[in-house]
Amino acid sequence: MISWLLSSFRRQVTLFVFLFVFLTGTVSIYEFYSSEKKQLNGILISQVTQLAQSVSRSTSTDVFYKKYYDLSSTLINVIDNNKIAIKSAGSLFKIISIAIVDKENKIVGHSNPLKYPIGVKYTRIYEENKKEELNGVSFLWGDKKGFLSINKDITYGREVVGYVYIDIDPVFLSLSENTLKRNILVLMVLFFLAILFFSYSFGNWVDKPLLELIENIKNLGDGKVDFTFLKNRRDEFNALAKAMVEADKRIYAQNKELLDIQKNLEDRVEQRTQELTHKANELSLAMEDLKKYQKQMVEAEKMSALGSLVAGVSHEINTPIGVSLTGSTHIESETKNILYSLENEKLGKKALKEYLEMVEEMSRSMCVSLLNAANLVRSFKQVAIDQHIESKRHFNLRTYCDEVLLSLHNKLTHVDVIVKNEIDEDINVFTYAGIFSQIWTNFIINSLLHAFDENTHGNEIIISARFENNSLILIYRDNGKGIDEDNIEKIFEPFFTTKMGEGGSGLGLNIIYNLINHKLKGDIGCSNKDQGIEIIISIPEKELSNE
Amino acid sequence: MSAEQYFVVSGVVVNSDNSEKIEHFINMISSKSGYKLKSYYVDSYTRLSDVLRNNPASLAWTCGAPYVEDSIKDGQQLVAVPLLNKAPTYSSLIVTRKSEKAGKLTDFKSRVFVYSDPRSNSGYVAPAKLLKDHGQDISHFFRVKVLSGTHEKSIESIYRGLADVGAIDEYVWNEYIKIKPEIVKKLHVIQKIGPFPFTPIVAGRDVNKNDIEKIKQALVNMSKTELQKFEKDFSMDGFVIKPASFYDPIKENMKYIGIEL
Repeated sequence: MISWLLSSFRRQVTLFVFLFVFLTGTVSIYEFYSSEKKQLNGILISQVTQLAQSVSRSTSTDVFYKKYYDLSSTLINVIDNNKIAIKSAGSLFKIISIAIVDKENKIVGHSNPLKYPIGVKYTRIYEENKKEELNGVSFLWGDKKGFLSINKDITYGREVVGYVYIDIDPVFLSLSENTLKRNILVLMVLFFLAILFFSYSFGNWVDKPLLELIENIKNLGDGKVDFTFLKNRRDEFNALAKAMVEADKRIYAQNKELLDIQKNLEDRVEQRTQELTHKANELSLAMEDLKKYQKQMVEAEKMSALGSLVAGVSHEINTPIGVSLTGSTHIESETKNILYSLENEKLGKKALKEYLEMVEEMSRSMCVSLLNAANLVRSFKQVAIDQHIESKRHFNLRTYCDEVLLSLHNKLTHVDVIVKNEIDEDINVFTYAGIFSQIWTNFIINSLLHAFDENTHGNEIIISARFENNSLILIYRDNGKGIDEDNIEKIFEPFFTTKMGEGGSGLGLNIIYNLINHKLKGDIGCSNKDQGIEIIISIPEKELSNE
Repeated sequence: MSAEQYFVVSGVVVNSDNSEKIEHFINMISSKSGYKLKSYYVDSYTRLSDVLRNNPASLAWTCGAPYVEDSIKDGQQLVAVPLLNKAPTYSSLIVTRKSEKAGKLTDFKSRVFVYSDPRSNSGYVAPAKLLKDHGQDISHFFRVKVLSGTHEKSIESIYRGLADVGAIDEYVWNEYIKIKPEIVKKLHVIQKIGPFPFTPIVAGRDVNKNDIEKIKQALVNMSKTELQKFEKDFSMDGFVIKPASFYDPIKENMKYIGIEL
């Protein structure tokens, strides 16, 4: 309803006018009605007051002497006179009954003696507290429906000898009020018709121009705005219509210019788009190349790490093999000498004993060296396999760390660095062992490359791990010189290295970062400590079990 | 020639529209008897007695009961008695509304009774005597006794509902229902008391025998024309001469109901 109202200016104005006219009209009419009613009531009160006083005066002697017949005649005359007055439209009321009672409240006269016989107690009850009094006459409205009862003392001399009760039907007052109400109703109808007329007139006066304006505003800018109705007006609507026609022409011209500019722009955009598409294709190809290069770099880094490992391992097994080779060569040479002495019968007991003692010594030395080499090969084999076979397996973390450290023995023996494995002994996991090998190898090589200077002593690396809050916490610490604060946030970024051209590819820690985050669903963070750095890796426990 | 005297008339004969006829009747008596009279209207028998007492040479048309009392107290003299239906008697009629269920006066205990005058024979003495015959005292039998002043007003009182029952002079009743025939649509006679000596024409104590005789002759010897007019005007059949004792029945009734004479 409200939206229906708000959607039309005409309805709003009509409602406003209606409310205004209705309210002001109602108030005015009510005031007029109240005033007229008050005036009619005043006339009525005046008339009945005179009536009561007249009856009281004219009956006092008869009441005193109990002249019932004369009293009755008087009452009949009063009622007859009232009828005459009504016929001549001089009275606003009709007398229903007149009762005259003595001091004992016994009826001494009544206009309807059959119903109210004389000598009988007058039984009409008047509620004293509802009475109004004026000029010695009491009024009681509504004792009967719409009736007015009036009451007046009857005095003879100074003595109250009785009372007169008159019941009035203010029928003519009601008729007058009804006439008044009818006139007011007619007035209201006229008001309503006036509002309807106003609404219709307003429609032609404001609504129609507004609608024409609205209709043309929809077409504003197409150069075809035209006002058929408002052309003939001479008021502000006409001025507004002219202004709209001018605005339409101006907007049309501007639109046309804008369209040209737009066309030009579209052409340029199309050209730029083609250029950009070409560039994008080039960039796409470059990106593909970059990805290939990155993959190659990653592979190269892997191969580099593997190469280092192989070189270290080769160096490690070279010594025992060399020892064994030297020992066997020496045994071969001494054996030839013993055989020659034997064939020439020059072999003495002492020489044979010395030969056998030498063989025993050489054999023991060769055996130790070969056992070392065998252990080295076994560790290398496992680490190498873990780096290339990406499948999960069960292993003890501390033991596996020892194997990795053993594989790095070559690099660690030539530097003054002590690596401590402080991993809890009972940590058994089911995961990709190669990732851990790659982690520790990368960390240790980075520490050796960046953390420790050649002339520093007491260098230390501590590797530890523990389960905490359903995660495996791996901690790597060194007591080196730490990482510049400007660089510490970048160490896991790809191709970040401070040793570019000195053996660093800048991919090692990025690979670690990706393995931890993507493969093991964990987190990795690095921070500087009072001395050195601390890398903390957190891996969810569920990623480390086969359940 | 003596000065003009009053002919006092009361409700026994006066009604609402016969004053002209009464004037004509008084003129007739004056001219025939040579006793100069002029009309004097009163509204009660008390007033009639007062006027006659104060003007003892005057005449009056009064009621039987006041005459009885005044003849004793003031020396009123009986002149002549009118004839009603050829007889010098009339009755008291007990009248009520037709809507009343009561059929006789004694049924109206504690109701409203209307009478024309406390000294009226038909209006008061006759009903009082009737009630006393039934062991009732008219002073207390009715709740209210309405004094109307005339028999016509008594009829009106019953007609309007002011009174429930009343005792009406037979002559007045018959005359009044001729004037207002609608009366009989609502009222009716339920009892008749009488007959009683009719309402007499009397003279004051100072009217001499000679003049009384002349007046008597004037009344009883009306010419045919005069008599016809009188009959037409008053619905009576002329006059007869009766002795004072003719009214003894009323005197007895008055004494019977306790009026001191």
